[in-house]
Amino acid sequence: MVSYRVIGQPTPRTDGTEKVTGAARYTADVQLPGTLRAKALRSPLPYARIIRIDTARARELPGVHAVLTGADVRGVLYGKSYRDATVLAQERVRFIGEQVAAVAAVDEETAQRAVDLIQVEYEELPAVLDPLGALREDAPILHPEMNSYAGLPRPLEKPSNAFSREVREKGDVETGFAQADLVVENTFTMARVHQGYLEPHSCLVWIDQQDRVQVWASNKAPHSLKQGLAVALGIPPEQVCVNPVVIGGDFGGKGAIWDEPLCYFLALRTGRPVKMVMDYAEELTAANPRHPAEVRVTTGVKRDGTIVTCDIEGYFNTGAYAAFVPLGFLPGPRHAVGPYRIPDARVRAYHVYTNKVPAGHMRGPGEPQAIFAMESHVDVIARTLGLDPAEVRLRNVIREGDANALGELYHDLHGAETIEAALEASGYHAPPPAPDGPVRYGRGVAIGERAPGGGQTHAAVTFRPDGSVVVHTSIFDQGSGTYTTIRQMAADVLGMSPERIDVEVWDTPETGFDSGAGASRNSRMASEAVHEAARAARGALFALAAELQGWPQDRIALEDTVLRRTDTGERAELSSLLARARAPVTGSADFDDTTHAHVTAFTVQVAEVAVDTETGQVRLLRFTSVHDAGRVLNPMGHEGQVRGGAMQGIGFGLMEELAIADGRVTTPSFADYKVPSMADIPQMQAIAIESDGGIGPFNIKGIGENPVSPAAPAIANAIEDAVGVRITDLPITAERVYRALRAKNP
Amino acid sequence: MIPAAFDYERADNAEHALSLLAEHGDEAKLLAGGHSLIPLMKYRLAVPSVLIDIGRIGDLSYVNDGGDALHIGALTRHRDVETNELVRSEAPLLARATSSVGDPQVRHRGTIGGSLAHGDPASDLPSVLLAMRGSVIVTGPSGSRELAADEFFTGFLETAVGPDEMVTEIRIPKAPGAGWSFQKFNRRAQDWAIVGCSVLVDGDTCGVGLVNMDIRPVRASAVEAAVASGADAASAAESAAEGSDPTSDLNASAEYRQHLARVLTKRALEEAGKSSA
Repeated sequence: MVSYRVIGQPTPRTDGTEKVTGAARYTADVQLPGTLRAKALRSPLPYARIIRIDTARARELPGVHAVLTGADVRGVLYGKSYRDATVLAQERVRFIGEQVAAVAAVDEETAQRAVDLIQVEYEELPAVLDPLGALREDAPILHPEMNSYAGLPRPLEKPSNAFSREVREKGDVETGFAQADLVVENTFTMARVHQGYLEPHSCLVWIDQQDRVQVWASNKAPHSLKQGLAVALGIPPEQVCVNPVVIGGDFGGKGAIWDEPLCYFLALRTGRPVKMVMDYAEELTAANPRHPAEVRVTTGVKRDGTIVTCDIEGYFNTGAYAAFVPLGFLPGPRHAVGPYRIPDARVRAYHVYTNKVPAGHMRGPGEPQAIFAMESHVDVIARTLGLDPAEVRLRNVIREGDANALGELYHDLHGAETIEAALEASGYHAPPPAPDGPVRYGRGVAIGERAPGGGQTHAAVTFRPDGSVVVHTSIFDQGSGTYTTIRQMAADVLGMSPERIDVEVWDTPETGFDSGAGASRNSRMASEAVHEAARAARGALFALAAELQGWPQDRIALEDTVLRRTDTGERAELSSLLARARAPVTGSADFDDTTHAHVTAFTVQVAEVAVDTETGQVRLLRFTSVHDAGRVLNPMGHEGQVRGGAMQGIGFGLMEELAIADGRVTTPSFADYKVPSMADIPQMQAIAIESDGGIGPFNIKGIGENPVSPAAPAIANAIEDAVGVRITDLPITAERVYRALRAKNP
Repeated sequence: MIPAAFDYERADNAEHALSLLAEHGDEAKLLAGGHSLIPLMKYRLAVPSVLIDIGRIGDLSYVNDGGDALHIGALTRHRDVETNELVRSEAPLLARATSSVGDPQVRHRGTIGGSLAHGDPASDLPSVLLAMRGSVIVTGPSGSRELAADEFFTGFLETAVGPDEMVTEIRIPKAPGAGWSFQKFNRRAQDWAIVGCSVLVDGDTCGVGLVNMDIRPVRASAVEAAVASGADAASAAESAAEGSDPTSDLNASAEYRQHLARVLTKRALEEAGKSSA
């Protein structure tokens, strides 16, 4: 394999110390003189007409600077792609938790007291709470004016709650069914889950003396935020500056425009900076969780386990607004056909409005739902045919030269190899432990595949006069360790130790568009841009050495603090050379490729469970996560991504559910909303299989979203292996398993 | 997430706390470790106008050998109960159940008296008090009285403690050679029990306390009677849910809770039978 110097070395995080000591500055920590705090009044009803809002008493409360209602922000619509969200409710509220009015006051308590004084009269309307109900003929259309919203994925003949119907197709599924020995059909459901980042949504907006809109926000896509704000507010983008801050976790939940427009209008009204920080009850009831979904998988198979056709139909409950859905639809449902060589396939995904909290996405938009369905289904196929589930996967998985079920062609395919490695590492084929009283043991495997997304980013590498280096990036690291890998990349190219390299972040006016963290794209974008910028900077340095020392430019090497002439061995101190430079010694580069990468990465996970047949309780004993990784940039960071991602997948599988009854979230705290604690996480192995077939100068593959999705189906498959029941609904609670066992053995 | 406004008083000793209670009456709540009361106040499910902080009364934190029983000060932190040698040798069931309360941070703040006085059917410790047939010393303006576990828990988050009284001591009969078991069924580690069960088997007598099986902490009397009349663990446990009225909530249906009560009671009786001297 290619040899690197710094790439591949376990490297602690550049931002680790400041985070654990509390020095890191998050949005809520940013203090500007005269800052007001804002709070919003939220709807108590899932669907209602607003008849009257009385803000008089709130306005009279000492310390209150402004009270806004929908009338003050009429006509302003925003969204990630499809722009259907309002700053404050206009005439109607469409979910419990929707912002109806907002107060800016001297402090948070005063703002909350003023909010409590606002009176709203509603006329309640019949709500639609589930997607199938929302699609009935007689269901109220929640957004009758939807064809007038910008960014609707495809115009509809007439308004419908199914605002997006995405169809992906290759061949003709009916042909496939005609050739099949057997048709297997299953329907799976997945719960709504929250990203569970530690830092809640927060923002600070200040209109400065030059009329620029200065924004600090817990947002990992600052350039999208800048453009989205400019469009929503009708101001030039260059008037908006999004300033770098530390972001306390994202997992897909921090890429949308959030309370920034509301704080802008409050700042405009009061002439003061306005800060808004959600509390966690607000986060759990009114942020943008992962879509709950119902996915039906129908496959035609041959007796030997070959899948010849696959038809997917998925309903995704978007809730009241689609502003937080990446493309106006989720790109992930296509993963429901799996990484398999299937001649005919079709995926139909419906995104449906209901009177529930608007959904966004979490770590793989639509993927965990799709992969839970298909990877559970593959085990059903195997068991129906009396075959080993791992063998069925090996039989169907795409190999070099194969297109996948939707006709997409990827290279450097290590699917079969990754499956074999996971079976080996997990002891999959060893006999499971013998039954122990009421406890039975089982193992399950599941696989996923994901290529990094494309995008745009910028980097510059500059030598400082003292011989140290600063790398500028337009990426805001949301916690995934990108700054650390950027430092490694620059060190590797320059031939310097990472300690001499600092990473600084450009605010938005200083660079062109950056796509932001997401789609597992950071390493791909950063490695291309930083590599090229570092090479350019090194070239500039060598040109300087050639000029000042008279050395031939192609006979120079940089060795940390010293330049060496390779043919004579002459040496020059880097700092003394730089002190004589008359112009900055720097190099910069842009990366601009918005297409999905054509190199993908496989994840294979194996769960070993103990199931208590008397109670239905599932204990996860061992978990193995194997990754076809290209070259690992930072083994510490890579393993952290794998463990954290797997943990989120395990939570999705076994315990997390943002429950809603009659439109109201009934899990408004972490006491009710169950995220796994460390004590729930079993012995875990994270294994990277490296290769030089990855993307770009450092042969990378993505890892951000990859470790999440196969966990839940691996667990469901292990449960069936242990006790012979198939759980099709997430989360797999003990009571669900108990009921399935009772149904099987009455 | 911000509690309603309240006044704060700090009690220097038990007498001071009682005089503050007399002064403020129904409007006041006692604050010990704060792990039950403060969350209720944040959600405004409790809106006391005065908080009387008894958390710094040092002389109510102790474990004493009272001869037949352990005397435990009401303000003894869970962590101090869990690690106390006397508790571990004379009442290992209490030590074990206390070690499963919350997480280490909770156990370093929360108190045994505060947990029992909250009267929460989902708490672990009331089931121990019932199974071990302990009692609670309650002190008021006219002196102290001793309430048996069965008299103490009266309703949902309600106890027999009067508005002008406070819990000052917990008494746990010593049971050094007795068989015991604590079973806790969770959706995740370090959480409230969906159902729990404390069992103490001492010769012919048996105590069974259940967690989360009614609006108040309850005893499985039918199981105790069955054991006393010689039934084995499996058949005695059949009646574990008899007369119970558990809630259906996000974590479990009532029917499933009743099933769990039977399974956990059977396991607890079996384990207690094995550990009995």
